[in-house]
Amino acid sequence: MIKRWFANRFIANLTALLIMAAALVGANFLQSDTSLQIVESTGALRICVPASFPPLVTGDAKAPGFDVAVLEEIARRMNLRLSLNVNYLMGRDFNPRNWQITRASCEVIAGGVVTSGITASFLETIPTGLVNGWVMLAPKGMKFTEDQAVAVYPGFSGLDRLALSSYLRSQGLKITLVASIDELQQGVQAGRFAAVVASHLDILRIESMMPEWALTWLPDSLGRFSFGFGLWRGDVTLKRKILGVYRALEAEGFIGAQKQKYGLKSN
Amino acid sequence: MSAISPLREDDNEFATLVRVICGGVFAIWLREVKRAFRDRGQLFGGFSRPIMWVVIMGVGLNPYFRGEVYGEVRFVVPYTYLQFIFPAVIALNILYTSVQAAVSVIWDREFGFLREVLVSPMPRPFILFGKVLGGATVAMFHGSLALVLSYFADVPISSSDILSGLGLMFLLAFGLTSLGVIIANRIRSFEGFGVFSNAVILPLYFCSSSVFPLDPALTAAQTRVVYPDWLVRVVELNPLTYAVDSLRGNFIHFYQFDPRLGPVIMAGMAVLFFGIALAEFRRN
Repeated sequence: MIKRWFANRFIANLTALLIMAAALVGANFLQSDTSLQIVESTGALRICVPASFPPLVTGDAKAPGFDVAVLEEIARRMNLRLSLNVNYLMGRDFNPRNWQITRASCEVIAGGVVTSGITASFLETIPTGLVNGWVMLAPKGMKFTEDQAVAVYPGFSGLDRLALSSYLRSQGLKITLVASIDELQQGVQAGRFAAVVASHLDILRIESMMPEWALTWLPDSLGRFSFGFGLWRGDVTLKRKILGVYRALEAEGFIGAQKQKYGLKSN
Repeated sequence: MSAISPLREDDNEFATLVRVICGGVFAIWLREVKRAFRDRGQLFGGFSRPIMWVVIMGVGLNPYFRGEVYGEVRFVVPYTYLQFIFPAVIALNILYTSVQAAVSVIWDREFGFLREVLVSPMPRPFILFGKVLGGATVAMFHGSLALVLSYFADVPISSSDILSGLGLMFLLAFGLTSLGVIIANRIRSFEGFGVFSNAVILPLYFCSSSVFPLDPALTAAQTRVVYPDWLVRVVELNPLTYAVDSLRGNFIHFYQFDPRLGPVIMAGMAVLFFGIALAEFRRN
């Protein structure tokens, strides 16, 4: 019976075609690397983060920051423990190679990873929809005069300070540098500054305190970057798993709730 | 009225001629396609090549190209090795199938079918066109088989990527099938064709920046510091390089050369090789 069935050329060809197609489709279910397997075997998801990069990483156990809170939930859903590897050089040294973060230190890098083409040369990235760049916070409809001071807080965001400086000078603004967000806030409340310029993430921390003021993005040419989580390039199975959980959290509203909690906005 | 009727007759004759030619081209195309789908060996090659190259070789070499140190770029392409070679495997499948499709010219010559077709009223260019079209269709199908592995290779593909990709695949397949016919016109035995076609396929493939990248961020002088001058020259002179680059641009959005070069060179290859194949087909 089987012999006769295979003697039919059409059926034999079709069977061969189906077997080969099944092999090709089945190959998609093979593991393409061991990254997920290793993490599952150790039971921990290790993340490298800077000591502080608010509101993504705060260092406060009760409100650890957006990136840490999301990764904590992702790890929990993957039945893993989240292990934080705090790197004090991150964001302080200009050259990221000097931060000495290697595959042996952690599986995920968070707290200000920019999802650019250059980053993609050594990291797989999962965008979180957060954007950073230079912004100005000023009273709505304000027109600047030469004697008004604009406070600039450069921060540690890694944005191009030289480009910002040239731009502000070209606009004829009187610039006052401030060393911290607290100083910025106090100066605004005391009426010492007509407007403030800082990175988007820094401004978000004081924006709610000035409801009469409006936020304006400075030109794109000064740099605008998207944030995300970074995984080592080539760790496709781990990235796919984390991305799957992240999308589920997004659909459930967890990500939105965290963004609200930390005063973040998606762009 | 009388002045119009001869025109109508001409129109009818022209329409009949077009119908006959289209019917003839379709019959030859269908014969090529049917034969290819009945050839289990060729089908096996079409299915197994993506598995061998993407699943075995891609996974095997992937660890050597992965990220190890934050901020350190060891592999210039901002993609994994699997993603990098994925479009090249599509080109490889097309290359093999296109060139091998031309073996039918030897078959047809050997068994007398070609003589029968050549004495038919079909103009020779259309006979060749039907054969090349058939071979190109099968090669495009084989090329698209690699797309099944896009999930494994972590290459997200949209429907527009697939449509534009099929267009590029067809253009490449048409030129390469014509090249296969040129080879088949010069070689009289199956064994000789097999050996010669491999001698053409493998060097073309390996010298097309398919398995190693030429860093687009480097200047010509810097590239020649990384690779020997002769290799860079061979890669740049190989027309398949630009076809692979075009497919890479289409599927992973990474170009090593000017994006306009790929389609232009592929179209040029298709016209040139078909022209040469036709001249030889007429002569033989």
